[in-house]
Amino acid sequence: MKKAMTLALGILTAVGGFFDIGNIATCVQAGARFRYQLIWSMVLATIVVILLIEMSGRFACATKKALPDAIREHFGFGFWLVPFLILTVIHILVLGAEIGGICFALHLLTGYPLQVFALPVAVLLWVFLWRATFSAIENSTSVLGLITLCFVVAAIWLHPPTHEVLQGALPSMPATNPENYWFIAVSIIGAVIAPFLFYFYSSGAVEDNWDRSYIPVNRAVAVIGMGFGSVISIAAIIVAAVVLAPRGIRVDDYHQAALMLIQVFPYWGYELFAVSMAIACVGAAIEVALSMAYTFAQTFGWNWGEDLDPAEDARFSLVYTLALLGASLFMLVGVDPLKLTLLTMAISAAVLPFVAIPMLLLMNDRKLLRDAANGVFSNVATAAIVVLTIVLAVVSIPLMVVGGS
Amino acid sequence: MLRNGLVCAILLIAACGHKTPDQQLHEAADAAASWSATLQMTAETWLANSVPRLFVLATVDAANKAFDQTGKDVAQSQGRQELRAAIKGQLDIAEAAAGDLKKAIENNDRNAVAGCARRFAAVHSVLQQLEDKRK
Repeated sequence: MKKAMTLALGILTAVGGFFDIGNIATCVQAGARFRYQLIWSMVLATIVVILLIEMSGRFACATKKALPDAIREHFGFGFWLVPFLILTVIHILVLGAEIGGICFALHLLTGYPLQVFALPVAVLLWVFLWRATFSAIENSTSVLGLITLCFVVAAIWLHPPTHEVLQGALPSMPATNPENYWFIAVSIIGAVIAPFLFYFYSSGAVEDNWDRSYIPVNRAVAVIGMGFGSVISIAAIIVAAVVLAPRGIRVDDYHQAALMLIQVFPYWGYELFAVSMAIACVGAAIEVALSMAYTFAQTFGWNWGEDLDPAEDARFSLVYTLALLGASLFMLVGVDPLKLTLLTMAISAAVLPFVAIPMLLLMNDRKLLRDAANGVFSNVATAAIVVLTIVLAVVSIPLMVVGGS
Repeated sequence: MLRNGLVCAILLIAACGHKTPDQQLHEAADAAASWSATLQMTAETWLANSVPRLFVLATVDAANKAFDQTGKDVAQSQGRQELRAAIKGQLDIAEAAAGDLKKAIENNDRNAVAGCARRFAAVHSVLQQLEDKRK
């Protein structure tokens, strides 16, 4: 029964955690500019993220250790230092983008400028992290995150042409703007395969005391949970393709995206978009802040755990406090939230090898994992993922320069 | 082999990224067309009571910033004179309509808002025709 609950909660968590500001920005841009043509990049990213999430969860179940902890122990502090520093920058940028998403949603609901909300949002997130337990965070953000299913309802309601949607699931060359097409494709992949996701997931599995008996549950959470998240993201592409693309609206600003649900929900589509955006970003901001605190604590060997009293893991709590404060500065100084999001997604794609390669090496350590180590299928998939992450790392920044708007 | 492939990929990206002044002008026109369509939809959804007044005002401000930037890009462009003049003309109409939309929303003047929506539709249509000619 407990495992069934874990499965349900894990799936809900994935639904809530998968769809964040990066997904909203990249999917809406993809649909508005290239209709269904970029669905394949979401499908590809989903397959990769399922494999990586499954591996990070399996690792935590088999070793009762989270990934940053294990990478530092296994490869040494010197090896881990460079990925750690890069990840710290990524954490701050992603957290800034998520806070930007919350501020923008509040701007849509109230009309006040984004800057007004930057510090209050950071303080509210901090209070939630300070007071709540891990399961309270998991339950509240994941259940509230179900509101993002409104994109799925809208996509079904709009009756998109099935054959075009299915065609979009296969890679194709764009008729115009190839640099922008590939930039959005890479950004979608960077948004889905977020580096923090694996560290958060494995640390969460340790917090929830998962052991080897949870390996099947972990597999189900990875496949069904990430699958659901992907369906919501594809639905966002479809809604943008049906509502915004025919009108010639390409999304250069979140104000344009806010119009996308109104055709299906005329009286509350605008509010629904704002609330979905706020909830998706709150869930993701909490995950990113915790992921950063987990990574710091595990790197330096501090006490860690969201279920501990802040007095028992003061340095862990200090990290998310400073992270929230630092990340809120982006909105405070007036950085454009959409541009920050797209920049962050491109950089996320660029640093993927630093996350994927050590993790994949660890997954082959039979001393550590015994029968839970990667098999032949996992290792073939792993090799493909490593090649993909290296290609993304090389092309993401040049594509951002020539294809980012 | 992998290294050569990656170098090819970067060179290909750099080649794709190179744009002529006329291509840059068309991109500017595309951005302006997108914002005109946005303002048209925003005005129509306000008329249908689907979005609040403050959202329309904020969207007009965002569009004005984009029109300003496009205007600067067009002024600095080395592209064809007639293309620059055509885009500039539509930008002027769009900026004037955006100003009128703001006033109409502040005065709760529904007829004037509907008129602005038609003007944005016309601007979008002309800019779209410029884009279609290129294709």
